[in-house]
Amino acid sequence: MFRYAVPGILLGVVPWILGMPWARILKVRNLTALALSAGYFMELAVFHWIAFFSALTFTSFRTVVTVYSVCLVLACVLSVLYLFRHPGPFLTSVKGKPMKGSEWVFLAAFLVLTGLQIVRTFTRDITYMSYDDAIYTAFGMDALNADRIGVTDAYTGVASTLNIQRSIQTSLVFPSYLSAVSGISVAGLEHTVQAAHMVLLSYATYVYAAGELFERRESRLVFLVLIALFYIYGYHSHYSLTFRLLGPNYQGKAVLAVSLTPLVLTMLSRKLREPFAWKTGLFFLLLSTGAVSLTLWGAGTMLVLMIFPVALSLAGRERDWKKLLYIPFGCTVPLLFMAMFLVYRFAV
Amino acid sequence: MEDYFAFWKTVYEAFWGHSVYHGWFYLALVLILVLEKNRMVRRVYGVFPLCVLVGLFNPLTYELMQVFAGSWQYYARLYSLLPIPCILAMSTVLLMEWAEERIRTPETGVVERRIPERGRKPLFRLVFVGLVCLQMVLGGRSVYQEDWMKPARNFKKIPDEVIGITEALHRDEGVTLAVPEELSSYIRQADASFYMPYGRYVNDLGRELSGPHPDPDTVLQEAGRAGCDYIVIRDSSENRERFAEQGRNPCLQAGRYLVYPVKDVERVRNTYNSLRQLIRTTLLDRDGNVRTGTQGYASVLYEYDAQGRPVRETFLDGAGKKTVLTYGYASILRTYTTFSHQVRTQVYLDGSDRPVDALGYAEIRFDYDAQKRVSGETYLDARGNPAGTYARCEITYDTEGNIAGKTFRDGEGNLTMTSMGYAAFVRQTDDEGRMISETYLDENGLFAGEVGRTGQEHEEVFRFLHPTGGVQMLPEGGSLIMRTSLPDSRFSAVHFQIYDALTGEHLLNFGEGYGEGEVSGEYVHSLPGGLYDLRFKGNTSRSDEWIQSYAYLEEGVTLRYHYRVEEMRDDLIRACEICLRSGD
Repeated sequence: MFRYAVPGILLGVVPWILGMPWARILKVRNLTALALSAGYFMELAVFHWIAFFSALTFTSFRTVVTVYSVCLVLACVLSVLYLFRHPGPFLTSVKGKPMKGSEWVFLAAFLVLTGLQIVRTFTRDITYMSYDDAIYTAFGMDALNADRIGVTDAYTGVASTLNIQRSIQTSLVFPSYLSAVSGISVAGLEHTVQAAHMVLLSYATYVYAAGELFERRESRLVFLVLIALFYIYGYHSHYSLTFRLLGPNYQGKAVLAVSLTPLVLTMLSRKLREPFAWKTGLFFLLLSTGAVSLTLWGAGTMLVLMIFPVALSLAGRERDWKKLLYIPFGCTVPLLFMAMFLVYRFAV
Repeated sequence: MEDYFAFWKTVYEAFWGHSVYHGWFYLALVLILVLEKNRMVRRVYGVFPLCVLVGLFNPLTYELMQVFAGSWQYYARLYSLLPIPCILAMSTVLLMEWAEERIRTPETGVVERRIPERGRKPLFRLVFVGLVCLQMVLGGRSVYQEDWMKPARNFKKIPDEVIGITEALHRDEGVTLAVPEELSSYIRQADASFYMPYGRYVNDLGRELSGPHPDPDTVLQEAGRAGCDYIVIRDSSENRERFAEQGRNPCLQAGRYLVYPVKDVERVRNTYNSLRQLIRTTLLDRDGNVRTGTQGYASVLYEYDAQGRPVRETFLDGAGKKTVLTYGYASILRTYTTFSHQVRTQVYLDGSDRPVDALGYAEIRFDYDAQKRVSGETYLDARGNPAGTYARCEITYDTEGNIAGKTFRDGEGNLTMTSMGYAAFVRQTDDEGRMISETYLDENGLFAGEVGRTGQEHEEVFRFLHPTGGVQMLPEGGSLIMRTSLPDSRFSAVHFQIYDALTGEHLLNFGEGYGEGEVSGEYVHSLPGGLYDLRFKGNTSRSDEWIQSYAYLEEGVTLRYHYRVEEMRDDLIRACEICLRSGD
């Protein structure tokens, strides 16, 4: 029975532990929301370096599982130590007044809408023809079968030369890690467990965003209700964010669009009002690694998300040129992997 | 410029569909820019999206994307940079707060600047939000009502039939399975220990299995050659009868599908190692015994380097000993550059591992183009000298990546006749990469013969080509018509190009835009005699929709182009054709 709890621990508890120190360091309003959201990308960031270099060196996937588990435990221990040394609240950093009647209405509406979406990830088949999953899911399963990352043709199952693009996209084999430690199939983890987790992750991001954008609690709740309703009724094409969240939402491009992009933009809208802080830069460094892990598009996305808002922050009388340093923090890792991919694609 | 607009229009319509949200989105941006009090939030959520839109509809972005990911589907992903739900919700809340600030309180009759905590404000908010939500529900489209949002069948969200098949047939050493197209994406998701001869993009075998009544002989022989252990077809009484007539019974029924073992046919058995590398292929007869093929081997051993690149093939006889094929070699050795995946040299070795002039040469050295396709092959003998009747073969490709022609040259680089009776050929292929025709040229670059094939889907093409198939001859007074038709929304211009078919040199290009209704135009151009590659398209947003044909022009011929676009309103289709006439 314990094995069924393992995904919950790795997708819920561990991200919270890894993300909570950052939530306190960055002094956000909704600590747990940011912890759950950012913590997952921290988890991916650590996994990315281990998995990618294992792919390049044809290291056994079992080794990846062992090394990553050790690193994860170490990271969690460090996080817990930090939390003990810096005690504080866990839910929100600002004490609010008792909730009013209308706020209860909005909160209930938000919980019902979100709950509906989570339940539907279990009861509905959201994989939609599975064309992309013919690569993604099979790639993840091949990591377990062949005990190597990126050296199997996902379509035929026969060994091939290293697929550099998919090897950079290490989030493809993160479900393989979950499968290795829990014994649950990769397909089930992706299509059901991660599907539900992605809905929770996304709304954690939006709860965090609401806390940063609006002072009034009621406004925050209205914001969340509208977002939740938009996602249900906002299906206008397969490129819409509705499809990204409520369709095959475990795919890297979906997580990038629905969760990471609003997280980065909201964090920037807050931190660019304040003086430059290297800890914030480090946070963006880790997020950018998580972005690359999701998809190679994540690399390009991070460049745009970092450069434009930072440049816009300098368009005013009071310019803090030190904020330009956020760009190398947020763009170095993406550029590195983009360069690696281009070299491999055109020169190798 | 028309190319860009047509492309962007395609992307825009693909992203927004027929929803009202794109109007709401632009309104939301305005509201954020006007109502958001915090400058930084205004810049991030108001100005940044505008920057993204400018970037989206920008020729520089278009050109960059053509290099890295040409299709409009990837371009549409750029919209993911816009946090649309945040923007819509945020603007609505800002509007709500702005409106609240202007509600007069009944006690004082004065417009309150601060938002009081009591009174009619909560009712206002509930009504306001309720109206907005109603508008979203009525104006939007629930994703849960879509056809593709079906009830989940199981925890893995994979068809039950696939799970049934993979569980029943699973073997630790791996099973090779061929299935109809609708199942091909799922098999390896259910169980990655399976091998398949194709994946999501099926080949001829997959297409045959996907048909309503696959021919048992055809599919089993194809499957046998592909090394399959089983095939899967759709269950129907007719299929069962057709297979039963040949004494074949299904070994498994899984839902709407039947599984048949591949046996009683000549086939190959593939053996894989723990890294899933193919290490041995063995030829088997109808009874499953090892057999020796016509080339003189019974099995092939494959070896790989540390990077997983195949470096050696060794041919064995029925007893497992190295054997020399009828061609004269016993092994093939391949080398690569340090990190590349392109074969640099391929050497044929005899039974003692020495280079042997097996096929008229002992070694092939490969050159590659920018798309990493083989663009040249140099043939050397066992002593390293240019070998055989031709020392070099140069290969060109069409816009779809199919081989468009080969040119054979001697050691000095001159065209040279091969034993096949030509020095060069030009090939036409259909949309699926199958050859339609080949035209052959002699060592002087002159017409030497042609072959072609007909097929129902190609009748239209052959009506416009030479009656025996192949390249249109355009003597004085001759004509060639190229025609295409596409949905109206994607048409805006005509493009025509001429290339020298042998050298690939681009000789001529013209394009003209047009609007509604029927338009036409005419150009006159003189070309020397020779073989020409003609390309024509009426769609301006995608370069992969060229119609391609070849014409052999006699010396001193003047070419006239007359194009015509007609609008077929009933089908909402536009047809576009270009007619080339030789002579005055």
